[in-house]
Amino acid sequence: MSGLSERQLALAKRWIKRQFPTLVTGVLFIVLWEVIARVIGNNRIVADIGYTVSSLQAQADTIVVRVSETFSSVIVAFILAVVLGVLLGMVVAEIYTLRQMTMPLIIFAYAVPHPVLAPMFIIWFLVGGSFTLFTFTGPSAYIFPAMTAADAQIAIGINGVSTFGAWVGFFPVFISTITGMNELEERYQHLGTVLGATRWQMVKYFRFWRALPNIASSIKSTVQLSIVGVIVAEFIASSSGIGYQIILAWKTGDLGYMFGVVLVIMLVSYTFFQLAVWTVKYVTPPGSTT
Amino acid sequence: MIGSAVRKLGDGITGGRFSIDDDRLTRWTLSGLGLVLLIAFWEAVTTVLSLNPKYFPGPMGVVNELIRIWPAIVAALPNTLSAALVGYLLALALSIVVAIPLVASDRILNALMPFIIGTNTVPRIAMTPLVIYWVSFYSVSMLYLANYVMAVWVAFFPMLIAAIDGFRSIDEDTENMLEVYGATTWQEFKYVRFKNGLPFIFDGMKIGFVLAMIGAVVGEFVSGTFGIGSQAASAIGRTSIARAFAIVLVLGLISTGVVLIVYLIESKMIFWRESSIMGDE
Amino acid sequence: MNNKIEQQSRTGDAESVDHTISFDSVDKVYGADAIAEESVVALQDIDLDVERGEFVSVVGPSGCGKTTLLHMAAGILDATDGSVQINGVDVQSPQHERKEVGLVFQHPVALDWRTVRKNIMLPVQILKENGAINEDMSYYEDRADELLSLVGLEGFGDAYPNELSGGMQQRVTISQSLIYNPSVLLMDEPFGSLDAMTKDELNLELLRIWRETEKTILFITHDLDEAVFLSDRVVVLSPRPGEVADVIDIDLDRPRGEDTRGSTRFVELSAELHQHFKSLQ
Repeated sequence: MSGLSERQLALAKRWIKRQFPTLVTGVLFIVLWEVIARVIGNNRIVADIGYTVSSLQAQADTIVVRVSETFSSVIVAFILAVVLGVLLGMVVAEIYTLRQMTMPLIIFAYAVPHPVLAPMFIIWFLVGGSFTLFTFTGPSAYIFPAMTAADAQIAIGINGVSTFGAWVGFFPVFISTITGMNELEERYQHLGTVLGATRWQMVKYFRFWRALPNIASSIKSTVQLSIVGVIVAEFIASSSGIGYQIILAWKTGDLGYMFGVVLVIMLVSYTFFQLAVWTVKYVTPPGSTT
Repeated sequence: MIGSAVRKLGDGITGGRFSIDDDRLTRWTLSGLGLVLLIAFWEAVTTVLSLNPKYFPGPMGVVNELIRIWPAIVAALPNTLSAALVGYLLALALSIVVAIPLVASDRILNALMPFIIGTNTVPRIAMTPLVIYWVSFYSVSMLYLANYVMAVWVAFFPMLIAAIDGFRSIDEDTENMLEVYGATTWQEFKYVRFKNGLPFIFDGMKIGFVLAMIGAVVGEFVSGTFGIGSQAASAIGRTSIARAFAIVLVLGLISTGVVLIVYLIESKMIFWRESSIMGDE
Repeated sequence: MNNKIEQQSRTGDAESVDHTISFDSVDKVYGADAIAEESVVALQDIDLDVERGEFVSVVGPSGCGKTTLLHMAAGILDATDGSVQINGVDVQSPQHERKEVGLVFQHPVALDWRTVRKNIMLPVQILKENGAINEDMSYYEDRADELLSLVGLEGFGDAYPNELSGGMQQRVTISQSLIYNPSVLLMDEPFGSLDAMTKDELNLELLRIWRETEKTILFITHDLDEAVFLSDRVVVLSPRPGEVADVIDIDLDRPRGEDTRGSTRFVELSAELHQHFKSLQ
C-alpha cells in the first residue's frame, strides 16, 4: 500500500461515490432479472441466471471459437472500412468535381437500410469465392485442452461477412474524413499560399491532419457498425460465427443458451468498443480538440 | 454526418480561388452528370465484359427484374413499411416521453446514462432471434409483430440519446436564468427545453427511420415472415443479384424519401436554425 | 527616415529605387466582373512604399481594407489594378521569391498535432520540398533552437500548442515566420487576440527581434497606441473605399522601451493619430 498518496485515495473515493448510483442500478437490474425469471418459473420465457450460466459453460468451447470467428471478421471489416473510408474520403474531399458527381450516390447508398444489401455481398462471395488471407490457431485451442488445433482454426479472410461489415462501417469514417479535410480554417490556407505549398503539400501537412480528430471520433461509430454488419451477415449467411449461434439456439429452443450468447455478444462488443476508444485516446496528442 | 458534408460542399474550400463557379446550378448539373455517367459506365462494363447477368447484372437487367417482380414487391412492401413506420413513430414517442423524467432528475440520469449508452453501443440487432422467440409465445400467427418490436428496439436508443442531449444542452446562462425565476420542471420544458431539443430530435428522426427499417428487415430475415426483407433474403437462394439489387433500389428510394420529408418538416418548424439533409453526428 | 535619402544617393537616381514593399496605384475591387451594382471597391489608388528595415504600421477603422492590403503583399490576393512589388519584383510573377516574405496571423497557426519545434520547422519543410530553399535541414534545426531562445520559448520545444497560453502560441507563430529568414514580415494584428499585458510584453519582444534581425515590417493593428509605439511611420486608411488618408512620421527615439509610452512626444503623437482617426469616422 505504500505509494498510494492521500490524494489518490481521495480521488478513488470520489470516483466510487460518483459511480455508486450506476452500480446500484446495475445490481438492481441483475436482481430484477433473477426475480422475474423465478416468478415466471418455467425457464421458457426468461432463463434464470443459473440456467444461463450452465448453458454457457456446457458449450464454452463452441462459444469461444465462434466469438473468435466473429470478431476476426469484425477486425477485417473494421480495417477495410477505415482504410477505404479514409483513402476514398481524401480523394473525394480533394476533387470538387468528383465530390459533386458522386454525392447523390453516396447519400443514396447511406440511406439504404444496410441489411437488404447483405444478400448481395453473400452471393458475390459464394459465387466468386472468398479470399483467405491467413489462418491461425485461435485462443480456444489454448483455453480448452480438449480442443484440437484443427477445430480452433480461425481464418482471416475477405468474404461476404467481412466485406458487408466493412460496407456498414465505411460511411461514418468516409464522411468524417471529407468534412474534416474541408474544415481547414482559412488562415492555414493562407499560410500554405504564402509558403507556396502545392495541393499535395496542403493535404499532407494540413488537411489530412485537420481531418484526424473527425476520423478519430467517427471510429466509435465505425466499430459499432462493423460489429452490426458482421452479425447481420452471419444471421443470413454463415454457419460460422456467434451470430449464427443465436439462430441455432432459437431453432433448438434452448433459452438458456440464447440468453447466454446474447449476453456474451453484448459484453464482447462493449469491450471491443472500449478498446478502440482507449486506443484512439492514447494515440491522440495531448490536449487536442477531440 | 452527410448533412455537414453536403452543407460544407458549398463553403468548404475557401479563398476565392475556385476554377469552377460554385453555384447551385453547377452542383446539380454535376450530380446529374455523375449519375448518368455511372449508369452508362455500369452498362458498358457489364455488356463489354459479357458478365454473367445473374451475378453481375447491368442497369437494364436490374430494371427488367424490378418490373418482373414488381407485383411481389408491392405485396411485400406494406408489411415491412408498416412495421418500420409504426416502430419508428412508437420509438419517437417513447424516446421523448422517457427523456423527460430522465432530464428532470440528475440523479436518475447519472445512474441510468451508462446503461443507455452501453445498450446503444452494443449490437442490439443480435437480440432479434430472442425477440422472435418471445413473440412466438404470444402468438405464432402474428409472428410479424416481432418486426415491429425490432423496429422499435433498434430505433429507440439513438433517438432517446438525441432527445436527452437536446433537452439538456441549454447554455449555462439560460439555466441560471431559469433558476433565478424559480421555474418548475414543467415550465422549464414548456418554455425552453422542448424548443431547444427540437433540432436534436429531428436529427435523431432522420437516422431513426433507417434504423427502424433495419430492425424490421432483419426481423424478416430471421423469422421469414413475408415482407421486403424476406424477399431480399430469398434472393440468396436464387443467387439472383438483380433481384437483390432491385429491392435495394426500391428501399433506398423510400428511405431517402422519408428523410427528405423529415428534412422538409424540420425546415418549416425550426426557423431559427439551418436544417441539414442528413443530420449532424 | 534617412533611409530613403541614403538609397537615393547610392543609386543616384530616385526613380529606379527598389523599395522593399511597394504598392503602386493599387486598386482592389471585388466582384469586378459581375454586374456593376454588385462590385465592392475595397482599396482605391493605394500608393505606399516601405523601405528596407522600416517598421510601418497601417491603421484604420474596421472594414477599411487593412487585411486586404496585407494579403495582397503576401500574394494571397491579386490587385485589380496597379502592382504590388516586393524587392522590385511583382508578387504575382513567378520570379517572386516566396522565401522573402513571412506572414504572421492574428490567430496562431500552430498545428495542434505538432510540437512547437516541429511547428517552427513546418515552413522550411514545405519550402525545401519545393526547392525554394536549399540549406540542410540541420541548419534549420539549429535555427529553430535559436528562435526558441529569441522569442523566449526556450524549453518548450517539445510541448504541444494546446499546452501553451495564447501569448506563447503567438510566439510560435512568429517563429514560424522567422525560420526561413524572410527579409519582409507582414503582420496582421498579431497581438489582437491577447490581453493588454501580454500585448505590451510582446510589443517589446517584437522590437527587440526587429532590432536584431533588421527586417522590413508592415504591421496592421487597430490599437493606435501600439502603432505609435512600434513604428517609424503610421499609415492611416480611410474606409469605403480604402484609401490612404494620412501618413504620420513617428520621430520617437529608438530603442523604445517601457518609458516611451509616458513621454511627452508619445502622448502628442498618439493624440495626433487619434485626431486623424476621429475625422475619418
